[in-house]
Amino acid sequence: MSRDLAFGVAGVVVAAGYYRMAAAIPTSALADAVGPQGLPKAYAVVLAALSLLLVGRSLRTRNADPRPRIPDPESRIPDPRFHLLRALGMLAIGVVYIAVVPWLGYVVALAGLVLAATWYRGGVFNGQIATVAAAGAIVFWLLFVRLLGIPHPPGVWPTLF
Amino acid sequence: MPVGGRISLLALLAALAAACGGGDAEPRRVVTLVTHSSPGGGSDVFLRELVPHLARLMGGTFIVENVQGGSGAKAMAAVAQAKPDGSLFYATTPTFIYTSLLSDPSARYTDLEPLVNLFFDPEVLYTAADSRFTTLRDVLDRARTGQGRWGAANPASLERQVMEQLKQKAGVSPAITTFEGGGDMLINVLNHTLDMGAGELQEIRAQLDAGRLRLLAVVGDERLPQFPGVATLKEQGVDLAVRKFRGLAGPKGMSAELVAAWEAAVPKLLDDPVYRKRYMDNSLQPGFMPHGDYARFMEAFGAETEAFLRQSGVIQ
Amino acid sequence: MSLDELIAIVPAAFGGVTWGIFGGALPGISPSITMALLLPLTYGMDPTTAIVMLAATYVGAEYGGSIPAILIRTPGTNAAAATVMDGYAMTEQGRAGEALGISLYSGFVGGLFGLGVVVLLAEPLSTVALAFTPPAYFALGVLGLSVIASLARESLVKGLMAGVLGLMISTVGTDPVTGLSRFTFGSPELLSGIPPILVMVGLFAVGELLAESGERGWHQAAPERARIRFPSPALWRRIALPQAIGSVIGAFEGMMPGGGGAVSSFLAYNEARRWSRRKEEFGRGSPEGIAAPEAANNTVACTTLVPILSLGIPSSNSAAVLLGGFLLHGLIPGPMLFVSHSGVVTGLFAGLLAANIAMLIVGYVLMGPCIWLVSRPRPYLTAFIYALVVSGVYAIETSLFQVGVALAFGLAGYALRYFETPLLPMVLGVILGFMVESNYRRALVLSGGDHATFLQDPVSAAFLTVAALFLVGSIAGHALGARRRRGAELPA
Repeated sequence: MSRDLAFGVAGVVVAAGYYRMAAAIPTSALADAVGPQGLPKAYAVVLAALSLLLVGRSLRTRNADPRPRIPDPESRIPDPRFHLLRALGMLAIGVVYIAVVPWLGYVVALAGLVLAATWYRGGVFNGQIATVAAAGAIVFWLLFVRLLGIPHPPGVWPTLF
Repeated sequence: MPVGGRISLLALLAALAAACGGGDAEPRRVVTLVTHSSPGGGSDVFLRELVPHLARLMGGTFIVENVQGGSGAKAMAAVAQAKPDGSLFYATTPTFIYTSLLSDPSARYTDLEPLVNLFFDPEVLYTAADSRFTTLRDVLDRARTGQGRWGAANPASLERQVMEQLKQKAGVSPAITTFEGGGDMLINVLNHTLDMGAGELQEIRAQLDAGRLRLLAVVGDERLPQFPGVATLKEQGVDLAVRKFRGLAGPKGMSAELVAAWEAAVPKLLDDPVYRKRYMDNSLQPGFMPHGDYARFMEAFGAETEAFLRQSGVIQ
Repeated sequence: MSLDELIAIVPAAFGGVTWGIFGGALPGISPSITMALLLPLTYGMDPTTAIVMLAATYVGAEYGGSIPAILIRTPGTNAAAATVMDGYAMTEQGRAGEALGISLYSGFVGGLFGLGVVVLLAEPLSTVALAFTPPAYFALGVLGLSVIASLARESLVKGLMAGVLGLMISTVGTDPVTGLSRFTFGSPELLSGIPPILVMVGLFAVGELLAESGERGWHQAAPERARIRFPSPALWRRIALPQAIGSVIGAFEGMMPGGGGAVSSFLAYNEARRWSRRKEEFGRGSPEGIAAPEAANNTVACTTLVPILSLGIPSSNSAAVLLGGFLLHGLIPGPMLFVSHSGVVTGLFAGLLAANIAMLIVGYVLMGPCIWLVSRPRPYLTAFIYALVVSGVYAIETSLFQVGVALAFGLAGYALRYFETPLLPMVLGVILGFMVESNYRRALVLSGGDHATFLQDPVSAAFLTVAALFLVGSIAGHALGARRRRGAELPA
């Protein structure tokens, strides 16, 4: 299946799901003629139409167009399956961060995130990386919490001491 | 790994631990006033002007904390979970009731205990000074023909409620539209897209002082001291009045002494000549309500709002 | 104005600009958040100094937003989104210093132009804001959306799909007419919608982190990057037209409530491309593609003062914080301010001049360190961009939920990259969706359901005509391009 075909099919699925949710929006006595469902439904229909157009075009050109595809500069993804797994691993680092930051606190969790991401991307683990991660987390803490005054979670530490 | 690297790593870990345990103990009594409004927003400005006067009258340190997000849901949750020892209060506005009713926040307005009310934001109906409508009657007559255009600042808001109820009670059929805030709507009144807008006096003060707007009615129980010539809706034959409150609420279970201390301090605060000048300049109307009255008021306000939202199908 | 006042204003301008560049450069921390974070510090100052500092912060933040847009392909602010394309393309060609120089210089030019407009024409131009009725806003939104056609590169269909997906995202939150909650699943976190910056940081920054995670290793960026260059005389001449386009569009956008920097940057980008003699370079590292949007968003930072000073109406979130600053110092902006507190107004103008000069100096000094930071080994850069994202996004509403939303958009960005679909149309849809829908419905409520209202309103009719001409033109262009490609293959 070509990427255009896959995107078209995905578009139809998204449009259908979104339409169903839009149709479930309750009506209100304060509503206008267009109503809260009006534009969402229209968006879903337009998306479905565009998706079908893409599906149709990719089916038509699949055999007719033997020329190699010019790679789009936005796309940097060569081999899908392995690559998707790698990407999900990277995403998981962020998800774990969100899960642990309320308990471990901003500095420790962020140091962990930097450490994990550097290791994941660089494939090496050593003292220098750990040092940079810890130093980076402290710099970020100084920057965001101390200087900008953004209340990042302190974690359980203040209750322990 | 070189030795130097290890030492610096240890030093960093020590600094890390210090950074984490950096909660400083404050021996002085600190009272935090929480608002859902962003710095510079309506409630924030109100609290920041209030704080120095509170500190003078009640002693202790008062600080303002902006707990934004979720249209007040986060601020409500923070206050509901706090200890009821008088160290944390929430600055109430109708927003917290609307958010409680329109979505499903973890703490609702009923999970907080109203403490005292301080002010009302006068709600007014107004039109452009150079518009062809000079009185509320003109606007209503126009709306009777099915041509009227009225505006309210926000879709689910007290102003919207006022306009919908006015439409019902006056038996007219104007188009009512809503905007993203008072400024947005004000432009459409000034350029005559709208016959009439409903909003807070504070938001339109600059234009009013410059003589570009005309007040049509006060949507409250009494006339405003700043504008004694403007009649209330009730005086003009429409039985409709709302009170946009500004007060404080705290966690459930506050002690009687705590409540009494605030009930004693707030009337003194409102009589203070320096503060009085400041809040009158900002178009706030003093509206002290003791704890018991405020709790009943809030209950009634919530019930009325819920009835309105249900009746109009905004919530099921 | 006395010398004493001047002495207080200049440091305030420098401080504000530095703070602004800094906040603007952190993705997620918008100009309005940067200003709001500074607000408590200004309570103790005298009114003029405080207002100058806040306005200078806004000026700095608009430039600051372009730094990560150029260096790491992540807009720091909404208004820097259009800078991403050509800015990052230049960075990839080892011309990061040049790109930053163009952004800084164009911002300076735009800022001065905007300031001139405010000083000379604030009173008469306040009527521009009044010309904007709901049909006009709707038409402005449609005009903005028509830019999708020029962002769509090879595939118009996929670009439009991304745009519609963006419009769908913009429907999350409180319904603009009834107040019903749509697509919120009962969550109060979604009541006020999904902020565009979340979508941008997710699509660009997180999406890029995921996309490049397949490559392993410690290769380092080219050291040549670190050269900082201001535009050469030839380049000056080349970017003069896009700067003029950006400044004029920015000047108008700044005056209309709800317009804001983001719309103006996209429109400026689009117009600069249309009038350029080197259209084909756009999207591949064209200096003009940086000059136009960056001139536009810095012009907005000045002309946004027009509706505040003359009408007392804030035209954007940043302007609303500025309004709060005025109120906290007992000043009520509006028609009477020029009469009652003319000293503050003159001081503000002097301060803005100082702020624009300060931006040039501070921006120049900061360029070196910024470029040094992004030339670190790739794994470190990846890790710290990740750290920046989770820290910056959290600051929007101190919400981990929103960090999660940004990660989810990262996955969406990854998918769009895989499907070779441009990202910016989606961003544009998210930015403009609410404006288009709310004003479309408002206009119809006011007209009693009559669509003729969009043609009867002169401003709306003009915008819709331009948008229609542009769309027809670009669809024809796409079709022609496709035919030419097919034609070129036949002999081979």
